[in-house]
Amino acid sequence: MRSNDLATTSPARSLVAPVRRAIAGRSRWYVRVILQLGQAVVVGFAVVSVAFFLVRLVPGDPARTILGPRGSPEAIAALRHAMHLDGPILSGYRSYLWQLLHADLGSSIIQNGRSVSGIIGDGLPVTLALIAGTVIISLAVAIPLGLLAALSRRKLVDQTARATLVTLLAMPPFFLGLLLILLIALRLDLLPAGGWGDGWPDNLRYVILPSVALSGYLMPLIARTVRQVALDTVREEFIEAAVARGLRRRTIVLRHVLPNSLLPVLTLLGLNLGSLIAGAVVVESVFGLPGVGSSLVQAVSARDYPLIQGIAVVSALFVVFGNVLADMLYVVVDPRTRRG
Amino acid sequence: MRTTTRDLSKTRFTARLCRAATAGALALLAAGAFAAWAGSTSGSANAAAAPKSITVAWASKMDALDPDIGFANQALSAFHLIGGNLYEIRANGKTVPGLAQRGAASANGLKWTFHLRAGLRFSDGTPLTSADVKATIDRAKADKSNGYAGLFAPIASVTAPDAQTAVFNLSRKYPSLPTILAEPEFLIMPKAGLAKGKSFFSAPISAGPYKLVSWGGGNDSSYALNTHYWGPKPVVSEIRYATIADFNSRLSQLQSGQIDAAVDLPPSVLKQLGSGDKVHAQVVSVYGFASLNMWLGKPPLNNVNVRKAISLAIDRGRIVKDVWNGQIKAMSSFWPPSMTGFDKNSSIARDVAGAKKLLAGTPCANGCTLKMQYTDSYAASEQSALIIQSNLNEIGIKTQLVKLENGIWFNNMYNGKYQLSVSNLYDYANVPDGMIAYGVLKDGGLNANYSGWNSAAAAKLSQTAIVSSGAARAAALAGINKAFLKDQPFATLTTYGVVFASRLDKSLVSLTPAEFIEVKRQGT
Repeated sequence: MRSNDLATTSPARSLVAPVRRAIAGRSRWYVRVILQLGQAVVVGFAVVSVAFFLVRLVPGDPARTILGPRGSPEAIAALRHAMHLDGPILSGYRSYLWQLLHADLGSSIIQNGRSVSGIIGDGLPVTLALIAGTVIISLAVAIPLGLLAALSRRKLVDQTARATLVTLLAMPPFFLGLLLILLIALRLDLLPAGGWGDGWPDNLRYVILPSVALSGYLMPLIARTVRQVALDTVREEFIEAAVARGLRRRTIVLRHVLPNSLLPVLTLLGLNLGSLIAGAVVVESVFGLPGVGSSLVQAVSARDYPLIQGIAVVSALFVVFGNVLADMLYVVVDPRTRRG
Repeated sequence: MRTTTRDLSKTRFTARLCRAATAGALALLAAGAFAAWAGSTSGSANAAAAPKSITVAWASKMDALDPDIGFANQALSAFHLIGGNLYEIRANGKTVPGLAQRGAASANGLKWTFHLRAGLRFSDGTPLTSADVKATIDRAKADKSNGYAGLFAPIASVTAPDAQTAVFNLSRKYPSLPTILAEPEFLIMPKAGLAKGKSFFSAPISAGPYKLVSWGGGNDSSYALNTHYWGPKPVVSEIRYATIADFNSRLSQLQSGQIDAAVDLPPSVLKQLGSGDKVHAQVVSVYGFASLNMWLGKPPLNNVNVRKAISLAIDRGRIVKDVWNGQIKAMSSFWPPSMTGFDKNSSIARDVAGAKKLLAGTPCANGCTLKMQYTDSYAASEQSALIIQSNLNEIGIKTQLVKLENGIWFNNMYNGKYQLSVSNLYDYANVPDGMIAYGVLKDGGLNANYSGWNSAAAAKLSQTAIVSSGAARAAALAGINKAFLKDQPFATLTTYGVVFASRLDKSLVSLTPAEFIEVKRQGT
């Protein structure tokens, strides 16, 4: 489209070109972010719909689950009515969507009418602390380890590092968690075996072992990626030129090799957010953490539909926004990506 | 990369990187050590002296503090802590007067009069009178979602002729009433509080040995001594209930001293915990049994000889020894050894030849295949299922094991969509009313323990048992047992046990046969 066409087009048409450029990948980074936020809304709606209908297809009745074997048919029917579970499913879906538009995730039908947002609000800081701890530990160990494996002249160092990483990757988080509990908590009595503290900084000692257990999955992925990218980077001509200019090794690694190695790490983190959340569910169970994962397991078992839906939506939005954040950090680390 | 005089992979640089990696790892370890030093893991040594506060961990969280819809074990134990009942059940199973100093039935058994103790108060200091007793029962009867409606049904009305007297008018004789009134769902609540509606149950008040300090609907709740309690005070001032769903985590936190006791551990811990451990575990037998349920609605299990053959082929002794470390008892009758009606002459011996003989002429004469479902919500169900599978194989019945999530398992059982299933049935007290309703009667709520058994003879004997006492009741209970063994609607396997583990002295805190936490009282 020629530039003088803009003067003769309508406001609606003036949006077409930027959108086309965004779709074609030649957009400014902020347009991409806006598009991703729009995508988040669509994803959230899809997750809400799928969660709403799928969870109701699973056999099991919340009222019967609450009242258990002692519940008479009359009591079960009365409780279903009190929980609004006896109406048509589509009208329930419409009501739920209307609630969501008012930022209301509803109330738990099992936990004495507590609001879903309140339950998630209680558990989210624990889960976020676990995920943050996992990312910090993974990055702190994996980046130096990956660089060491890539830049060491001794093959033994590289092979040992790779063997260790493969072993860690092969260990499921729950197994690693149980090992850590046995060795660090029970045998050495260094850290708690599970549970959660009464506040920060006391919570710090409760989050360490679970974060280490969960990082057993993420750390090898990051380390291998850093190793591979570092190996590719040091073979580049600009590195040779830098060496020829007389730059110190530390400067070359920190200013050239490391930033290039971090770019795929950011993408890796974004892509693995979903897996981290799934892993957090398992680790929270193993360590008895009162996070969102534990709430989800209990909600599924008890058929607490609003809580299952609420956690599904929050998790999906977390993954989407996490990817948006990763994209934004990408721009910070590599300014070249500001313009497509 | 080409080698240059200042090669990046020279030893000096690599050494620096190694030092950086080592420093990073040491920094992380130091942070962890600092964090560990900044706090301290709590621990209680085994001590005969009572601690000021204890923490007990449960497998499932508290569902509600409304006694009409609170069914989780943690909720029921919480009701036991805070609830003032007209009668109380002690750890030895005896029913003793509670808020009611005495009670007596009329000559025709249709009226019970209870006289309350003088000077009773709720935990907030307000007086407790018979008006509160009436309000509690009236509310429970009016609540259509009351899951215990069956137990309240024989109570036609309650009157309060004076502040110290409550009269229960019954629609039929109810000899078990004093013990039933000791159950947690019958805790007495203030009339003024009940008038507030559902909001009262976010922080209910009662007249038990403890009062609720906090819950908030989450995983943890805490309780403190009720200074207005009428009886001897417990020796522990504060109790905290925590929810730790995963049994490994529950056991680990118990062993590390973060919690003081844990309920509902799997029986495998009985062998795990050595004699030198600070933690001791025991199996508490509750009033009920573990069973192999059978759906009578479809062939081949609609054939009584097939059911009897299955029961005869099961090696109950092996389940007791291998799964429960010998800490429960095998049984084959309807009534467990802990309950009135138990027939000590019922044989628990295994008879493979006899089982094969019974199968002759049945659809399983030349072998058959059945599906056996189980859920790991019940401790030891998987191990029991494996043993039963190998036992039935010996008589030509092949079983496919199907492990189900609890909600789906319960749905299948309730709707008769199964063939065999490992299950259990138990009650909170040594009275037959609950076991009869759920285990014998088709219309009692559980379709005769999910079997579909419909015996007119057993139903008639059940009506006699629940309205009679003494020798007449004993005879009716024996008759129910005979009807059960004649029709064999399901196979009882063992008494039902709950594993309770603790770091505390056994005399201080225990688990009752009703699965309630009981704390030693002062002066006892």
